[in-house]
Amino acid sequence: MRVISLVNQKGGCGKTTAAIHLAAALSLAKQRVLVVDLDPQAHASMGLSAQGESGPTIADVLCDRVTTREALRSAPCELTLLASCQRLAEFEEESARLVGPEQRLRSALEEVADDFDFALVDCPARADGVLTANALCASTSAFLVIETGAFALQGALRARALFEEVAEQQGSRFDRRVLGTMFDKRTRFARELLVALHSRFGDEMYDTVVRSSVRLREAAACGRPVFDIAPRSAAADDFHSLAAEVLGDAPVVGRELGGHVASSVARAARVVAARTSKDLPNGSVHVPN
Amino acid sequence: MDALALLCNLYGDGPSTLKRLRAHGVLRIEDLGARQAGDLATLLALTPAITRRFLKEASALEQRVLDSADAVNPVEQAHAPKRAGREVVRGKQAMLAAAAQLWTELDRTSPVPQTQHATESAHVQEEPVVKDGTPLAAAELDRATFEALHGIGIRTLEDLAGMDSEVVAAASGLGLSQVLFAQGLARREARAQIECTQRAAPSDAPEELVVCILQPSAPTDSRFSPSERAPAQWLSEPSGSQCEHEPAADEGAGPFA
Repeated sequence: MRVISLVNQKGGCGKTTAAIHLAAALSLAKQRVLVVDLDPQAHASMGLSAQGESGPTIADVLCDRVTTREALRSAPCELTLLASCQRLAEFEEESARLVGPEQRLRSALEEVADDFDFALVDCPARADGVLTANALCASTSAFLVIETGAFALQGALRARALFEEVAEQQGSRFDRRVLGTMFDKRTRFARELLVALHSRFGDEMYDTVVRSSVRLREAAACGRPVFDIAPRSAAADDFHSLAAEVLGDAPVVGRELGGHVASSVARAARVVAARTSKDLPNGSVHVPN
Repeated sequence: MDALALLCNLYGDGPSTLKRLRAHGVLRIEDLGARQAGDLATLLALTPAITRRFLKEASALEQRVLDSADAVNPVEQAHAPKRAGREVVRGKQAMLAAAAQLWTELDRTSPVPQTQHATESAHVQEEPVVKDGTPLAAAELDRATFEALHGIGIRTLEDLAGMDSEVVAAASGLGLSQVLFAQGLARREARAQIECTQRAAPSDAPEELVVCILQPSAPTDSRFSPSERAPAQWLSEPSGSQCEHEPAADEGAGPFA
């Protein structure tokens, strides 16, 4: 199982939307996908029509009150959800009394590792908390979600530095990728910002940049992925393309290949892809970090 | 993300455009340079005008990405092999020098007619003198539009303004909107030229440079349509010695002062 965390310390940059729709797109590509809502605001749960307070949630799993399997729920687009609730915020306080609190999610996901191909973790808008540390510890890939709007570049650099620091402290190694969201190409500002992001994160950025779309907002209001309400929209196209890129990113490896090895596999795959598409001149191989 | 993907996100339809380009063998942004605009227009289902703009943006972005790569890793770029068939100009100063050289060459090979008052220019002597009407160059058309119009024999603004837009678009290869825009410019410029001529010195006076200062738009107070309750002085015409847009000194600046 590949575990992908969507991280940024800035709120409102599209982490939850990206998590829901990437998961749905992967599910439509015949992958078994688990969505883990690790944000106490529970927006991913709401976006998948789940009421967090009505049953066991990720908070109960992290506090060992229920097993992971007991907390799983079915969601639209044949997704499976580990819902969140406001009580998850209490885990931050409770974690002070636990041993290895940042390893809780990894242990929880190992329990269901054989049942899913992908687990997408929607992180809270706080990169230095124990919840994000849990996500990064469990991850094989971390996506830095960057909104192509005001303060984005500076915020992105800070967020990246911060989550690398967190990862270093936790001893976790994972593949780092950058995903641009909420792109409105009609504005020159957004175009300039995307060029700046490309020059800074070029190798790590996905080709697909998720465009700003009213359909995504409508989908969130309906509690369903955009593929259910507007399957031919530009937003649906974007997430299909992103899912194809994620699937082609690296071979789907076993859980035991997590961490550093998975990262190496991904880098090797990118080098091969770059060679194939003649991006690199002959004789010079630049391995993305 | 490579530069081609960036281009598709910035000026295309994102992943759809990228997929189409890659499916037809365009794997890098450099490959676009070898493609004809007509082929690409068919491939991407775009109008020729939009395709030309896409190619123009591709060229600019390619250069920009190269410059950016220079700034990021000059050592690696210095050892990178040169691409065949095309000289790559790197760095701002070098690019400016190359652009200046290119423009000099272009001026030498295809002179552009200047405005009628620029008598010292050698280019005017080479061009056939336009006797009736205002030269096309008087309108602030971009170079591509100017050349396209000039290429189909349009020499004066009056000719351009009087021709059928669709005929001009079909003959020149320009988009209809571009032609309409150019015609709008031509009409405006022709009107301005006529006004300038009327205000100019008598014809027997020695020829001198006529400086046309366009009137600024009317200030807010003169656009104001006073109601019936407005004071009579606002409705009165200004005296003949003053500009029609300026209020008389004794009547104040108007209701919004």
